[in-house]
Amino acid sequence: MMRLPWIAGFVLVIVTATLLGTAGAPAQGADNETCLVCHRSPQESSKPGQKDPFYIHPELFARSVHGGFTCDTCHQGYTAGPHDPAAMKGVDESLLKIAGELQKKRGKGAIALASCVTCHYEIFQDYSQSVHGVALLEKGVKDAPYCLDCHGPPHTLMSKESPASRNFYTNIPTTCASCHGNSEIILKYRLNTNVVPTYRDSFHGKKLILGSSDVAVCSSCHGAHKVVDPRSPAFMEGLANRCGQCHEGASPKFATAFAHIPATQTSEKIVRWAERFFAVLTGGVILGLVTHIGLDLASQVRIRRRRKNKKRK
Amino acid sequence: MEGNEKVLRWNVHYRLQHVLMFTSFIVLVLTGIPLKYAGVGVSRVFMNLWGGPEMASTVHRTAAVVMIISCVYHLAYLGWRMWKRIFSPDMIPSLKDLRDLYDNIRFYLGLAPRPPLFGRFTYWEKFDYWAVFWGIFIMVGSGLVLWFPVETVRFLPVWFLGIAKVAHSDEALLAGLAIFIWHFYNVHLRPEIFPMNWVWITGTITRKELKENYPLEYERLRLQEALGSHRVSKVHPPEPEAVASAKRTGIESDPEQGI
Repeated sequence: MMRLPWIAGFVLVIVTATLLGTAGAPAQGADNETCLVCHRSPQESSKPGQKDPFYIHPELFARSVHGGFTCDTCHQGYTAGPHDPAAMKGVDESLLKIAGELQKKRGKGAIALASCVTCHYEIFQDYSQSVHGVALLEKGVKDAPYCLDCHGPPHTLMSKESPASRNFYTNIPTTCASCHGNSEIILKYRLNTNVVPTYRDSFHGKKLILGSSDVAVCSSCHGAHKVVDPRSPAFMEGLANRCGQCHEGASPKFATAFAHIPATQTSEKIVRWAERFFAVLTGGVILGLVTHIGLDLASQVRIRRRRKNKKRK
Repeated sequence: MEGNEKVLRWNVHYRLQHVLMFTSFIVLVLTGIPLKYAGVGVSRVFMNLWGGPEMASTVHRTAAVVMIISCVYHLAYLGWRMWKRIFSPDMIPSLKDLRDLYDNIRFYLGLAPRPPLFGRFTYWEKFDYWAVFWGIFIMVGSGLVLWFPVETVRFLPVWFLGIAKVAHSDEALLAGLAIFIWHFYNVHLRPEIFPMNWVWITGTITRKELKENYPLEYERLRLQEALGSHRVSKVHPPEPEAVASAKRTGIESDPEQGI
């Protein structure tokens, strides 16, 4: 009776030792299979790795833009044991510093989050000067976006040329709207509430909805990584040139035309009055015309009936 | 049969202007409305029928040019008629139109035994004409602003673009409703007229129709024939004897047919 549990215990010890043996070996340069011993997604068919980053789908990862990377390209510093922070070695100082900032936001995995910087350093420099970068890294605003918030889950990261990518040209407004159209975040950080509605009502937004890819999206005017405060002179400076890429000869004055302006401001008030004027005009005219039609129809029916009665007599 | 001879109502120029106008109008509506209501799912289907929004935009602007041509044609033609001294201001609204409206509504309500005596154009036909006149003015003006926004803000304030967008979009809705409800009722769906008033193709109506629908114009024609001259300038406002004569014939004719 006691034999079976004893054998089971023995097997367990052997397996654990083997796992520790492999995982415990220096992970630097180790092949991904080592990590996948534990991190392989249990459901190969579903889309793991999207919601639970603990599980990686090897095939989906292989198809992502970084599919050729080893795990420790991003998950740096795992030299010994599974994930002992004390044993982390060989991580660049500046990377650790950024990871430290990110720690406040994300907690675990900050090194991997920060590791984009290793290759995309210039973009990081742009980013850290942007409203988003300043908010996150300097002001510690937890909701401010970092790389993955706009680029999507890291293990299925797609090229912006892929229509499924969050950074595919025509998907950009949806990506930005995940915060700028989110009432909770808008209220919390007092963002401009008109950003999404005014874009959707604009010719740019309308044509985008109708399937055009030849219109301005958020990044066409605001840029992607170096998004600056649109009220700042730095933003206005190059704006006319950006308009000019499609609207030849665009002046700085022209550039102010599309400003996500709240309805309370004077210039927009004129437009609201124009809207009211046309609403009254259209309502009044159509009501009058329909009344006239109704009267005309009624009189025609009356005349026909009278004519019939005459014939009967 | 007497009364079946044709009378020219719209010469070939007017008919051509009308065809240019309504074909471009329909194309403009079909390419423009899906953009106005871009958020509605059907709009995307519509746009794809045109080959996408870019193509629809090109088609829209081409149709706009056709419509502008029809307007220029019309105005130039009227100018030519003035120069040749054969222009008659039959379309100009007058106090009589207001009176006609009042009298016609009284007739509709059963307070008058017969409709008023109309001249060459009824007040609702004049309304159609001037509604288009106003509409074209608004649509072409705002359309050009939206077509050339960069050039516009060079000499106009930026909010002009906003107003132009509202005007173009809202006036389009008004024009579309007016045409497809009001004009289509008057020239297609009206029981007396259904399936359509053919004058836009034939250009003519019978003397009987003229007498029934435009009695003052009919009297003017008779007067002109009686005087034996085709060069009698059109009587405006109708001379008293023409009115008197028309009233007589109006009473003589069956009022229940004479609408």
